[in-house]
Amino acid sequence: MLVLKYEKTGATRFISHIDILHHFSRIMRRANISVEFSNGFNPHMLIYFSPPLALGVGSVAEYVTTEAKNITAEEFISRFNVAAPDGLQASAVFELEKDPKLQGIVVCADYILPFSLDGIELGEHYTITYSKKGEEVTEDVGDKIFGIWEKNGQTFIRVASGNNNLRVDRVANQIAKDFNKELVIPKILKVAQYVKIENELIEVDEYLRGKNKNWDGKR
Amino acid sequence: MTNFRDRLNALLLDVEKPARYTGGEFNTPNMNKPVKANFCFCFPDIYEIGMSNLGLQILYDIVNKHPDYRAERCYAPWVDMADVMRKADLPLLSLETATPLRDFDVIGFSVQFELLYTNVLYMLDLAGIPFWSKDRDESFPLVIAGGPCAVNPEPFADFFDAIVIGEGEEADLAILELVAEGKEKHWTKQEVLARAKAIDGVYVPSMFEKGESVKKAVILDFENASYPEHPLVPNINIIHDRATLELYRGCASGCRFCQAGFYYRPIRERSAKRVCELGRAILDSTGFDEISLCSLSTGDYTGLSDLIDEMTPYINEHIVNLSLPSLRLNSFDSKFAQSSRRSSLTFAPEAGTQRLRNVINKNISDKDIENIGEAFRVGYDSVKLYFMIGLPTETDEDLAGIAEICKTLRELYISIRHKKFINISVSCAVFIPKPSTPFQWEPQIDIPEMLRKQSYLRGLLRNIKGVNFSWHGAESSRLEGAFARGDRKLAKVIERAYKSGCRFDSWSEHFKWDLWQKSFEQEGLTMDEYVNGVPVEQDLPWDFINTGVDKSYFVKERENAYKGITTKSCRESCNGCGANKLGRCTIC
Repeated sequence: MLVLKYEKTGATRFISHIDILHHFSRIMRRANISVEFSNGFNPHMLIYFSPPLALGVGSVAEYVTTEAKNITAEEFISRFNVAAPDGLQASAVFELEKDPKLQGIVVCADYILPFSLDGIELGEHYTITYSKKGEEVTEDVGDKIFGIWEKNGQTFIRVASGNNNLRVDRVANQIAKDFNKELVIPKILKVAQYVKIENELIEVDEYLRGKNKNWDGKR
Repeated sequence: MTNFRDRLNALLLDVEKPARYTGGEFNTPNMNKPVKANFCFCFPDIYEIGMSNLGLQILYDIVNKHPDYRAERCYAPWVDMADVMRKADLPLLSLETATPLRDFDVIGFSVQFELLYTNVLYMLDLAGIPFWSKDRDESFPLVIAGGPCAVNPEPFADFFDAIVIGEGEEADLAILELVAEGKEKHWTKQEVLARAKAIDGVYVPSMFEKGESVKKAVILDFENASYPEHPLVPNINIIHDRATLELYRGCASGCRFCQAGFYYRPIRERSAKRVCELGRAILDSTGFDEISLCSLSTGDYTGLSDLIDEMTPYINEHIVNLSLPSLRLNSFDSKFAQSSRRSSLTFAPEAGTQRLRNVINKNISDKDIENIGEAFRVGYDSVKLYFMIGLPTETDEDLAGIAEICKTLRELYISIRHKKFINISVSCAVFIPKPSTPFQWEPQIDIPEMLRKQSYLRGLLRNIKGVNFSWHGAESSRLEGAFARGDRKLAKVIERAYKSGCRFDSWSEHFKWDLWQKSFEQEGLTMDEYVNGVPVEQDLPWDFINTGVDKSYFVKERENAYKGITTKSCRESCNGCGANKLGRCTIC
């Protein structure tokens, strides 16, 4: 299995997850990378993604897993990048024995928020209000926010992702409203994803590298 | 300078499907090359429909391939986007470089369909460009149009500085050449247009003089004509989300209601070899998993069998689906059906009885319909049938014939497959007499009669299991009919309708019949005067357009229609329509 780490930036931020799926299938075809297909009446490529990103939010840490045939990891990433549009370029590739099933095991992700941390205090039971299918929903998301901090003048937030998910655009909207910050959702950027192993958070790149002892992870 | 891209991005999360407005599609040509003139192709419907249009892709590719010019695109923003743009005071922008439309040298509308006329104004309005050609001074771009509706451009003529009649491949470049030269030599718009008038196919409404004629532009070397080998790959799922191969232009069938069949003559085929090369190049460059063959009657393409044989190894190796649209019933062959993985077949008998099919010259016999059994034998469970109601000489007996066809197909299916789960969908349009056809003088049936025929047919089809019936709106068919044969007076009606709130008229949820009726009334006009029958001797608004097909040929065809005499396919022998004056039919 090959796991590709890619970005979703620029215009591609506005492409929904379901359409991104089509894009990947077309990129693989353009790159002439043969990927395994399902055996149904309408065969489709077998590709597996990390948890979907909210529409409009950017990322430099998305992952996709696939079983590509007759191709080295190095060739895979270089052919992929020629065939991928701007905004969907890959930055790393990991070679693994098995599908790591990232969608199921990722627990949280870090995002850069496009405003300063000054004056922001979220408290243990931070409550957000958002509209879902036309209805207003109020939710205590304290246990889904793992931290908010500043580093090199940028504001980072770590929120739940995957099966128990918190949409970063919703929480960022609430913070902007509560603390009088100016927010443009497309300026939010996901920078890392984490899995939990023995109660410890491990960054996904590191986790994937650890799955293959022969791999230095750098490209 | 304002950064329009940032201002646009700030609005995108407030609208449905924001990727409609971002551009950035794979295969976007280089937008940074220095150019002498730039062009924005405008399509007056949404991204999903505009991106599916082959003509626009061809023209976009040709302009961008030229070292001196650049083409960008703009589709009609959906109503939610128009609202937020107006609130934010953001003008309509091109997709590629987020440049306001009014900053282009030329903007060109593709007018595909009569019910899109208000959307042209909707886009001009959002772009901050005056509607009327006469109201636009030198600071505005040249605003031009082209597309199938140019066969009768009169209803929208006064909005445009120039209109390309016929095929735009050469005319668009010739116009850009003039515009580039004009920029260099500081020509006024009038000076550019006076020269543009000499280009084949270019109609300049403001400089048109009585007695002149405009010859339709035709690409003579269709075999080698430029075709996009690296078409844009859409951002989101679009209507025709696949590679498209154009097999030929024109049609040999001569169905008497069909505008395209006459308007795109002479018939020019592309060789199977070249089509196949194009197909591979397009699939390689886009990654599409489906490819469709495009022409007015694919089953009649001389090279179809060769093409399928030649494409099959590639298609199998790359797991690509080949789909064959618009097969005419009599050209159905199970070999073609088998090479497609589709489970549904589409046929257009157009009329329910042999008698009426003879009138309209749809040369399909009842025996051909039975031929569908071949499709059932190879595994098809579902058939889509297209018909029209309100055809000249039609009686209720002809409508009953539609139900008979459905019954025959169902029985055929049961006898071949020994099960009853066939799906037949019947779609009925209302006949609209169109310019450049033998039926251009015919009346259109009135709305109560449309409704009566629809309900009569619905009653008959309700009793047949597995049949699904859908039909076109009576009111919108009426409006389409009025515009199809309209004259210059209608431009004011279009403006009035737009200003009172009409746009996206082809979307039933946005179609506002009462506003249209009022707009006609307020201009002192009625739709009836445009949809009534016209004496053959009377001048028609589009008489000045030379499509190659002689008016006398249409008269003769119309007489034959009333006698029930069919005209054979041009593939059997030349019927002498006159189109070969514009260029040789490659099948003669």
